[in-house]
Amino acid sequence: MSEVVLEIHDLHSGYQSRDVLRGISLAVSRGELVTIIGPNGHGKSTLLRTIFGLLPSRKGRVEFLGKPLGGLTPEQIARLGLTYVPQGDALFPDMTVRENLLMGAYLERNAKEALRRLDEVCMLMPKLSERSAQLARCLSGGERRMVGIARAIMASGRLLLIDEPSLGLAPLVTDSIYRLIGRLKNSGRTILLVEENPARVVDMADRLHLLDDGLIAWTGRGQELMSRGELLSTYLGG
Amino acid sequence: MDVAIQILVTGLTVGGMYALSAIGLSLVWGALGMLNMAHGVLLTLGGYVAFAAVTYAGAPWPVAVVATMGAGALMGFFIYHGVARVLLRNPEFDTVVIIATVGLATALEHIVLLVFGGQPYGQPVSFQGSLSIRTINVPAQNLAVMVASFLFMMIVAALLSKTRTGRAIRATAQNRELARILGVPVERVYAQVLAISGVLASISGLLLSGITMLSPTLGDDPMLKAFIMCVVAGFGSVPGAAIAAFALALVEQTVAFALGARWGFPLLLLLVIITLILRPQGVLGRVRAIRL
Repeated sequence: MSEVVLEIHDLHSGYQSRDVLRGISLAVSRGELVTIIGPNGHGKSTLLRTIFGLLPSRKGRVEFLGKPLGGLTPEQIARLGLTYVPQGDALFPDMTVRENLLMGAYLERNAKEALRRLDEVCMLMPKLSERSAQLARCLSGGERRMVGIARAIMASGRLLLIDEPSLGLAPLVTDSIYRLIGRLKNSGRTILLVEENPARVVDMADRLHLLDDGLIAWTGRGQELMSRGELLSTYLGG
Repeated sequence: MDVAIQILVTGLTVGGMYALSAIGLSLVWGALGMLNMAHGVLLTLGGYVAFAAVTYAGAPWPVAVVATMGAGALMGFFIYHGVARVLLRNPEFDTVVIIATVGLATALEHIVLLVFGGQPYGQPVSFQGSLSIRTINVPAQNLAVMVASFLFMMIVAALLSKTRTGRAIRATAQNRELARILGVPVERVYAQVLAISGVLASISGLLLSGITMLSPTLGDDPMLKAFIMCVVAGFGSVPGAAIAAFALALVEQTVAFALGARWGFPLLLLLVIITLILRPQGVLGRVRAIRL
């Protein structure tokens, strides 16, 4: 059995007086791509933000490689080897693409190693190499999302948390983003992905968790989900 | 022609000092969203530290310059750890930090008054003599100010654009939460920014006191001008602050020469008002969308 990278047990969290997560338990093992699906506003992004320490948990525990994350700041969690790609265009707008990517390797003190990773990322995504000197705010939506994922690759972490990478993008751009995520999975990366549209991930994910109103309503494999019409129509509008 | 050279030399000298001060103020605003009203008193302290190092400790001028920079950095750290850090969690941070730093500035100004007295002193760390260009005599101190301010601006530019620390500072200024996600220790960045700002302010005060005189209110006028320059440039725009400092200093000196010294500052303010009517976010600033 492969090593458990992330373990979440009975996690509660929320905003002000409202509990958004009401007892989430799940685990991600090394090399797995686990996907959280579910309708908007049911706690998918809140789950990632809570894991990463951007939102305090109210109950339960999160462990990364056996180490509890409760009470740690996002900076400390990043140092442990977790990498988070937030939803939307989370870039440094007045930095060049190259600088944005180098910020991904901020925790790498060896400048040569950071540049080696930059070369690797540019080989994986040649378009970014062409845009290297351009300011991030001049990029298209799809390119911004690509830079966000590339920056996460630069961190060379043990677990990637990716929040709705296709949000607001055209289908063709979304395809290329998911091709990239597929390549990351095939290269052995461990990924916890949040996605609203299950069709994007059914073939790729090792396991899906359907999140409904802060609770996991169903867990299984992608093909199984697609055969469960009642789940699709009830929770995912399909 | 000679008049133009004279205005240019004075404008660049004054502009250099304003620029150092404005860059520091702008850096702090960009990274912390903090208007440091104690910035002016850091200029004053810089001048007095150099004065004390030479006059009372008998230090040579390079040691006095290093002591001035060290004191500026220490004061920056103190402002962060003693004032800003305590208030950062306050939801009204933007406002309360202004009040707190006004209080700190007043206290420090009075300490300087108590220790050194109210009488003006000449700055011993200054250059005597002059350089003749055609019929114009350029004081050596003005040249020193121009060279030093240019040098420090280059150092800050290189730090911000070429180093890991500089990238972390810019990242924190542009998107604080994302910087934290990538592992940037933002609280350490805040302290570093205030220390850099303190160094720039203290050097600016040292240079200024070599042209005017040392007094407990030395930093008040440059603080006001630096604030104006940051507003014109757009708060948080570091290159903009430097450009605005030189441009406005040249305008001020031209007006002062053409219409008399008393018109320099009022016309500067008029220019600021016009700028803010046309571009409320400043010349190089950008409108920030705030989700309510």
